[in-house]
Parts: sequence; C-alpha cells; structure tokens
Amino acid sequence: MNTNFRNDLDYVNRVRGQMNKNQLMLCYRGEMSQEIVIALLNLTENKLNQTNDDSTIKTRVFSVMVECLQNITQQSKESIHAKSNLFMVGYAEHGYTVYSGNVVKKENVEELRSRILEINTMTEEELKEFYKSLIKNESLSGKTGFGLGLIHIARKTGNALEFNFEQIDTDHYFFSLSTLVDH
Amino acid sequence: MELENSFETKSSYQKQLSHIYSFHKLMDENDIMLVYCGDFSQELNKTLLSFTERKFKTENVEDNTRRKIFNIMVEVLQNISKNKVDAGENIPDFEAIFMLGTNNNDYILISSNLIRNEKIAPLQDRIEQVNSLDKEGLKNLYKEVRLNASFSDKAGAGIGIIDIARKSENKLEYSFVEMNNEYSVFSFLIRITKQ
Repeated sequence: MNTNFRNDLDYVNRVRGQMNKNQLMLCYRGEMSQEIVIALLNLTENKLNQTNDDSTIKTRVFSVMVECLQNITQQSKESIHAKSNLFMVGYAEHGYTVYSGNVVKKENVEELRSRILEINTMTEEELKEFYKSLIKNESLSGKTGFGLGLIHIARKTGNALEFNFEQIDTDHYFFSLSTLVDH
Repeated sequence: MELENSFETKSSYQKQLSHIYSFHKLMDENDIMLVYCGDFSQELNKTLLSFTERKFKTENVEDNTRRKIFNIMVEVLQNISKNKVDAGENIPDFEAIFMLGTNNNDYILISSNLIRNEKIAPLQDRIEQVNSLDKEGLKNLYKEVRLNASFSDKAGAGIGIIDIARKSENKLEYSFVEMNNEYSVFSFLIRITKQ
C-alpha cells in the first residue's frame, strides 16, 4: 500500500464508491478454509438478522452462500490462485445478491459454461431429475463437481444463474457467478 | 446496479458481472481481504472481530501480533460505533466502512466514517500528538491521560488513539474531508508491521 495517505484515501473512496454503486455490504477476498467459511457465514447471518426480512429469504440466502463458499473452497484447493477467491453479498431490490469469483483453468471453462447454460434452461422438475442423476453418477465415480452445487442454487432461488469468464492469462479465467435471491 | 434490468439482455448482465472482476482487481491493488459497509452494532463488531481472529489463526499469525491487531480493531470499531449518526436532515448520505488488508510488510486496518465537525480538532490534535512521540513518550502520555481520566470523562477522550499508536508502532495516517457545516468524513489507516 502507498505510504502517501493522499493516495490511500483516494483508494478508500474508490472502494466505497464501488461498494455503494453495487449495493454491497460485505466482500471477502482470499483463501477459503472451513474456518473462514464459518466466519463469513456468521458475519452475514448476523447482518441479515438485523433486517426485517422474513426468515425464508434469510434461509435461502444462507444456503446459496454455503453452496458458493463450498464450491470456491473445492475449486481452489491447492491452487496458486486461491488468494484470488472472492465472495460478496449485496442488496437487491427485492432481496439479496450473492457473488462469488474464482480462478479456473482454461480447459474447464467450456464445461462450466455449458453446464450453467443447461441449468438455466431447465424447469423445476427437470432440475430435480438432473440433480438426482448427478448424485447417482457422482457417488459412483466418487467425484464431486460443481454441478450439484449449481443445480442446488438454481433450485433454491428459481432465478437464472448469471456468470462471466474473464481471461487473466493464457491458461486461466476469472469465473464470476451472481445469484439473485429474492421474494 | 439494477438487477431487474440486468436480466433483460445478456450483454447488460455480462457488464454487471465484469464488476465482480473489477472489484476483485480493486481489492487486489492494495491487498485488501475484507470490506464491510453498513452499520456497526455491537453484535456485528463482535462477528467482525471473530472473523479476523479466525482468519489470522488459520494463517498462523503469532499470538503477540494477533493480539495487537485485535486490540486495535476493537478501538477502531468502537470509534465507528461511537460516531454513529442516524439519517436525518443535514446528514450526508454516507455509510461507514471498515477494511482489513495484509501485504508483504504490514497488516492494515482502515476505517472511514462520518464525524461531527466539532470533534475534529481534539481528535486531530491527539493523532498529531501521538505521531510526534516515541515509545517512551507514548507510555508516559498514556499514564498521564489514564490518571486524568479517572477525574473527568473529558480528559480521557482520545485514550483509544494512544492505545492504537502504542500497539501499532507506526505513524497513524488519517484525513478529514468536510461534507457540510456539521459533518466531515474521518478516514483512518493503521499499520501493524509483520514480524
């Protein structure tokens, strides 16, 4: 960080500007661990409890958060990019938005993209079936992917998953996911 | 960010989502790990503190440094809570913010909140005073203010600042920016050098 506080202050203002513009309440950037996940959940729970929102929406926000955090934790395990993990919670007009971001390998981008697009076109019933089939396959192969988490999020919110891939170097992309949890 | 609109076209929500990436880059710029914006109730301060404890414990930060960060953070959060203003006439629309960061050399705590203009002078004097003192000088000032504080509440004002300076062992960085004839923004940056 700059030793010149004029620059630092300018920085504080830029961060605040971004927080306000995007209606964010909490941002965390860095490595994920069980401990950090719990601490972030506590922090958000506490914050949500101060609002007058009914407990249904709070529970849904909470479960979307758990999925996102678990997903980042899994995907970034032993990655040199684990420090770039991002998790944010913000207000939306009729609820909240949960954002997550992490670095993914180039070869995984297409699979992830098509998986999300597929989920976004499915009806509730189709999602349920898809979920079941994935659980079966994954328990057979012993492999757990992000697929389940994504379906879970889609089912919980009933909203389309919004996502973006931003190339950061020849082999890596920054994957952002935004989930609206509303009434 | 208008989420409602963002659903209408793909390009608009792509744009909105690139904000996530730019925010990531913004935090990365100064190695910020946590940003919290909103109200600072006692309950919330507790969770922010416990977050920091957990975070630094998992990173195996040594006890002594962790205690320093913790104590300074308590003072900083209390200071934000103490200056809380409820929305109303002539009160700038402004949310207090707290940030925590770590780079190669330092742990960094930043706060920025509204403060009544008449409180600026004593606070600024106190910060300038602690910045001019060495370790021994700070210790003496602390004792002196503690002693006087037991006689009057007012004399004890700013004791938190002395405490912060003693634990930070770095010069305190700050700024005041006037918002209107009643309120200014007080921004405060504290470093704790890594051992």
